Amino acid sequence: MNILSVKNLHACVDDREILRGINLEVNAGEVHAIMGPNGSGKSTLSSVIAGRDSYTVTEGSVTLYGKDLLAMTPEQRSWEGVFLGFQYPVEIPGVNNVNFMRAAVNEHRKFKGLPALSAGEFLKLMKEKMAYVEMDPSFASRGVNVGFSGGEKKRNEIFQMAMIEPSLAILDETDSGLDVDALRIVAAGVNRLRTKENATIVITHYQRLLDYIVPDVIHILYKGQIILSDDKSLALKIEEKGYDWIVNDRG
Amino acid sequence: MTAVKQIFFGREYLVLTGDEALLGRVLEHVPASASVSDLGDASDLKFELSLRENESASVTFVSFAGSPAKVDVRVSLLGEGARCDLKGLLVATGENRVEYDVFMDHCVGGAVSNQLFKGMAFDSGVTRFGGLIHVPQYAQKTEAYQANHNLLLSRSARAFSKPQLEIYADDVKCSHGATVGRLNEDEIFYMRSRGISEKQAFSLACTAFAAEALVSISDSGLRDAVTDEILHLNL
Repeated sequence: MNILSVKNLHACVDDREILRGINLEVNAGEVHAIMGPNGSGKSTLSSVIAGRDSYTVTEGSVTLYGKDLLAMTPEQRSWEGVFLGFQYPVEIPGVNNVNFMRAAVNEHRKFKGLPALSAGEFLKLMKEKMAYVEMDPSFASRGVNVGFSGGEKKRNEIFQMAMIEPSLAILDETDSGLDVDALRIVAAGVNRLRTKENATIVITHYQRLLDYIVPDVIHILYKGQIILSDDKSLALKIEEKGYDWIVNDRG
Repeated sequence: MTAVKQIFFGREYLVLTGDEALLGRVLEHVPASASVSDLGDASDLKFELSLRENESASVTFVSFAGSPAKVDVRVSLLGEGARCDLKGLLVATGENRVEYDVFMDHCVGGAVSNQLFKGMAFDSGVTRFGGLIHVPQYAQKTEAYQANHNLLLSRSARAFSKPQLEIYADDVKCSHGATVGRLNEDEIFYMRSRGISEKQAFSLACTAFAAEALVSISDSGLRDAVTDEILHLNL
């Protein structure tokens, strides 16, 4: 079943065109990796899908289960199943993780026509999902990402993903700033959340992450276009030879 | 007329201004051990406090303006080792002004004062904070801090800030700072990307902003009641 369909997507920031005709089809049960040199448009693509308003879509379409994502607010996209794991998770001083996640989970439940969780049910769920990424229970009562190390912030992203159970998770450089142990924990969390019904897009610079989260297909994004798609062996070639050979092949 | 209630327990004061109905809802959450008194009219309120040697006091001011409030606060630190902690939350809605003038007088050396006033202006509301710290030449070893941060929640809201230090002693630790800003768009987007509606994201961000000014209210039930009223005003 098709989950995400991106067709001829063009997007700009301040009149500068960053995405120049992206085509991407993601089906249930699949893991896609998007790689590419700095500035190729990887983070822009994830931001456009999640609905950040600093980007303007000038052409093309993005649909989730056939519904027009571009017409939706960021929160509607989340309710429909999109989750963005931020490259730089935002600190929100004064809002603790419990209140933050409780608001999020209950809005998702409301959308599905389910009653809000009681405080007790919610804390039980939270405890269970925190264990997925070996998060210390003390994090629950702390401000969202405030004073978290780079690794703790990324674990918190995956924890949030576990709470929300999205059908499409886009993980934007979730591996950046992680040491080997944290990478293993984060990847294990992501793998545990994989099902036949959902899909994952991992955006990364490094083959390292793809040893843990094994993709079905790797796309190379370059100057706002996907210029090559291949199986997981592509990551090894890039690790060895960089991107030049792909770019040069294009003439 | 805007009502004023003073709630007092231990060395902790909470001074609330706002309309009667709103204050009534908050007062339901006052712990039994506290005493509540009426300070009259907030459109021209004077609040004075003197602290002698080694005395300390913590005062939190919260002004909800469904009607105007103009508050003059005067603190005299009269003895060495005196400590005064002032916090304030100024919430202006509609076309109302909430104004505070704080005079912190370090009459002797070796005393400590700390002020944090936060303003939230909705609609065409106006918050104004004027704060003067006075440290005469003989008041050495004074520590005096003052901060005023303001959040503008609509295009036509305004905030005025006038922090002042008047220091004649040379062996002191003093600082002041003031900011005016809007809600952080990155925070709002982050919350919305998790499925939190725009409206609720605003309300969480407002609560977070206010929280720092309310931390000295040690009774959590009372603190939550104050926070709830801010959220009602907001939305």
